[in-house]
Amino acid sequence: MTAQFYFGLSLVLYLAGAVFPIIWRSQPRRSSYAAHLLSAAAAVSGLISSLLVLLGHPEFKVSVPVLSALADIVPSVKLFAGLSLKMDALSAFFVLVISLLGLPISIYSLGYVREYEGKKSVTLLGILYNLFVLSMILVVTADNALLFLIVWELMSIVSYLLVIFEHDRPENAHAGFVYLVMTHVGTAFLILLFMLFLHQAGSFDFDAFRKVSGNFSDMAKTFLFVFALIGFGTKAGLVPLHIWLPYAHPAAPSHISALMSGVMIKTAIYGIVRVFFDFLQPELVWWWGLVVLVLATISTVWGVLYALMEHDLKKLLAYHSVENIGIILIGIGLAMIGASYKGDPNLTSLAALATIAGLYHLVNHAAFKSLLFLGAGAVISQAHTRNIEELGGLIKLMPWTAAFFLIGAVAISALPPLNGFVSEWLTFQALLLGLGLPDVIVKLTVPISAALLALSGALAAACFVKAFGISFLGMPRSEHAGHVREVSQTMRGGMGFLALLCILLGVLPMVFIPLIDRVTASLLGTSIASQMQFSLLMFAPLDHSLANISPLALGLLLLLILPITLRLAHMGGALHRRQTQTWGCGLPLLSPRMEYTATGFSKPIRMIFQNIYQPRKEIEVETDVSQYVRKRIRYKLQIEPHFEKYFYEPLSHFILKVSGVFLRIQSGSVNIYLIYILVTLLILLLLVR
Amino acid sequence: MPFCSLDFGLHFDPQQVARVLDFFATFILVCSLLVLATERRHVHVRIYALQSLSLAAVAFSVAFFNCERHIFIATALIFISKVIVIPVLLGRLMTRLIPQQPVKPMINIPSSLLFAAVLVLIADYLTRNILSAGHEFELARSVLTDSVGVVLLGLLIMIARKKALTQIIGFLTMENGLFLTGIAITAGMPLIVELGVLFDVLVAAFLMGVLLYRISETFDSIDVEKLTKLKE
Repeated sequence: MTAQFYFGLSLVLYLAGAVFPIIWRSQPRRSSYAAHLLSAAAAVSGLISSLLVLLGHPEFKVSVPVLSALADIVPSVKLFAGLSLKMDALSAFFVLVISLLGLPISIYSLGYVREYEGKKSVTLLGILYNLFVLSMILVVTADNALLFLIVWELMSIVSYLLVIFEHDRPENAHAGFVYLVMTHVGTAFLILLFMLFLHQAGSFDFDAFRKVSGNFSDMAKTFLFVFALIGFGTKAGLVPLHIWLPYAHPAAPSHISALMSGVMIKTAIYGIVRVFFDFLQPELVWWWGLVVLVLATISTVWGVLYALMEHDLKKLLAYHSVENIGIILIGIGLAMIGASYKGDPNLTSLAALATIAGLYHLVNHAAFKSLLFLGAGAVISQAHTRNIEELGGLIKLMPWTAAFFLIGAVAISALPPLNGFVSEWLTFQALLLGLGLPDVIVKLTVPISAALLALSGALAAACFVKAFGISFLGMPRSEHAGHVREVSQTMRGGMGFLALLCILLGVLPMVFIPLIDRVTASLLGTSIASQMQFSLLMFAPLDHSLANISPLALGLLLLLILPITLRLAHMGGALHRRQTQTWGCGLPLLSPRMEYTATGFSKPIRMIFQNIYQPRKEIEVETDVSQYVRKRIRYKLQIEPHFEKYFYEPLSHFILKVSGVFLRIQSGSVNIYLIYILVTLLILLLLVR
Repeated sequence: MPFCSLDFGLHFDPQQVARVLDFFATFILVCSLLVLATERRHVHVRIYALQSLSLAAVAFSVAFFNCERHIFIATALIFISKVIVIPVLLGRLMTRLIPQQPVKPMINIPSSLLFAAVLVLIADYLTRNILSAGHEFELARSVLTDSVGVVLLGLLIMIARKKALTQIIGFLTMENGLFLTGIAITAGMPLIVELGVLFDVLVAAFLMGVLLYRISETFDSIDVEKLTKLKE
């Protein structure tokens, strides 16, 4: 049994998962089992295949036999005959990430989609789910630009359909529209990008693209960079192209949000790595990496700042995706700078380290972000609200979900010993080593970037203290929140798997980093795993005198400290126990209305950054009898959405205005249209005469 | 089977042959002008049939004098589809359409004839240099002029008249012009091409007929101005 076999098997299983639910469409339960069990099996199969390739199985190609057979009969299919899939180390890495998430999310979905039974077509959801995962697998394995664009578009459209799955809510239709427009703008730039390549290579094959990287003029290279950055940046959610994320991710069903946020936006990272490190690596220009680095740093801070002000649980997570994509791209951008100085072994290994940091954070973000989305889905399915101001006290009623959510929250806040810490630490190390880069501007940017990364880490922690504290601790703030129940075993199983993954990725980086090193080795030609110091107790990048950590030891230390602290607490004699309500200040009857709110919690940060937020407050006081008897106070707070207001709104105004001008020649009369044709015809005929 | 001139052992002066072709081609052009000059739709259909008949005559002449045997088949097909089937189809369609008030044309008859004259002059100007003196098909130059003129006039018919039926006639006229070019200049395209084109026209005529009927039922009129409502 080879990697090819498992890869083919997984594709077939996904396809089966997209077909079989139709058979049982009248029985939603069965239909959902068919869809999700098949996708789970497909994920396992994909996992095996990608692991085999990462562990040393030679890379392989899969071509679609049907197409080449068709090409013999219908010549016009020839164009498509070269469409093949290729599993090299980079593709294998992404297939690994997709499969690693696909498995727990499929298990989770078994329980989760029950919520939709009787309300929506579970069959359709299952079919779209399978197609979505399949299209992502195809995106990261496509070996031909044409195929890539086709499956990229398939992925966009299927995910659009999933975003508007609950189309009866008006805000979802808007979310879908924003998503559709943004994703197509991105695809348009990708088409331009590949057309530039095609112009030089004369073929859509990626192999041909690799060969012609040296043929581009400086001007053309700049265009390549801009097109790739906009095209992939839109999908990734890089600021200022991020505006669709906070709309689209919350609108989709939660397991889909987990996939979109955990994996789909990562396909854009795949694209960036593929284009810059695979096709254009010898031609990299230093300022490209700098641009990526700067935008990534801005995304990091911007995402977390807006997440802090967000009280919709899923929107909050969506803004954190913007932040984390920023962190990933800090690594990638730094690697691009490092790789642009060819020949210097120090800088090449810096590039390799930065790439590893970026890709490791990619896996980690995929794990903890989908865990958080699944947790949010569990909460929402029980409490029927996404607003954290209406939650509270869930930890008592949903202990498992709370524990898993907490693990995700600790991981995303980059606290040891969980996985977020390791990769952010690696990113910091890469940034510190980046001070050795020769350009002055880079030298100046790198410390600023590091400082902002640190700031965003702290803010993320604050944000998750808010998210976890307000929704899980305290008293239920609404009736719904008081009546939640723990979710089903399959849902807990899915979340548990991801929580375990977060812990493992955190304490055992020395197991995972060599796998990623194979990817960077195949891309950059330098393997730095040998230079990195691994042992059970120590983990240091490149120069262990500069910095080293031991995540495992940190974890063990924490485990040890816990009983010691408890012990210490008891040492002063028996604990003086008094049972009252927390933070009650002696008041006997606390009501949920007295609780700390999320808005209140984030107020200090809102004040510090008020130049950025420009909050607008409206306070309405309703009085009764006299102005001193207040019946109701309404408080409204709005944060300025800068990019939408100052960039996208003027842009859409402009486009509508231009279309208005064109509308004038669209009279709707057939005769007028015919006159246009005649005039054009005559002018052309007279010109070419 | 003896069909063409050589089979009968006849030899014609190419000048004379060109004159024959020229005669029929010019008649086709005149037919298009006639469509512009009248407003009665029954007459339009008959003129179209007449135009197609002379197209068939051109095709027959090319087949006969140049001994291009496969053009005979094209001739037969033109005769069947354009002289018989399409006119009959349009005639039947007219009996089913709701009788209506005459629609004021977009451009009235005198002005449209003036425009037509300009277009024919343009056609002449355009084709003057295409086939220069001494060219193999030099004789066909006036035929080419006629055919470009017919195409332009067909377009003018579609612009000048608001009735959908007349616009169909305009379309068919354009198509006749293209066919004339094909036969006269290349002395016959491959049969398969001609078959394809003929089939296309037939289908187009059918489709437009059905569409027209629907328009007439929906809007109680076949005035295409009413379709402006469909904008946006």
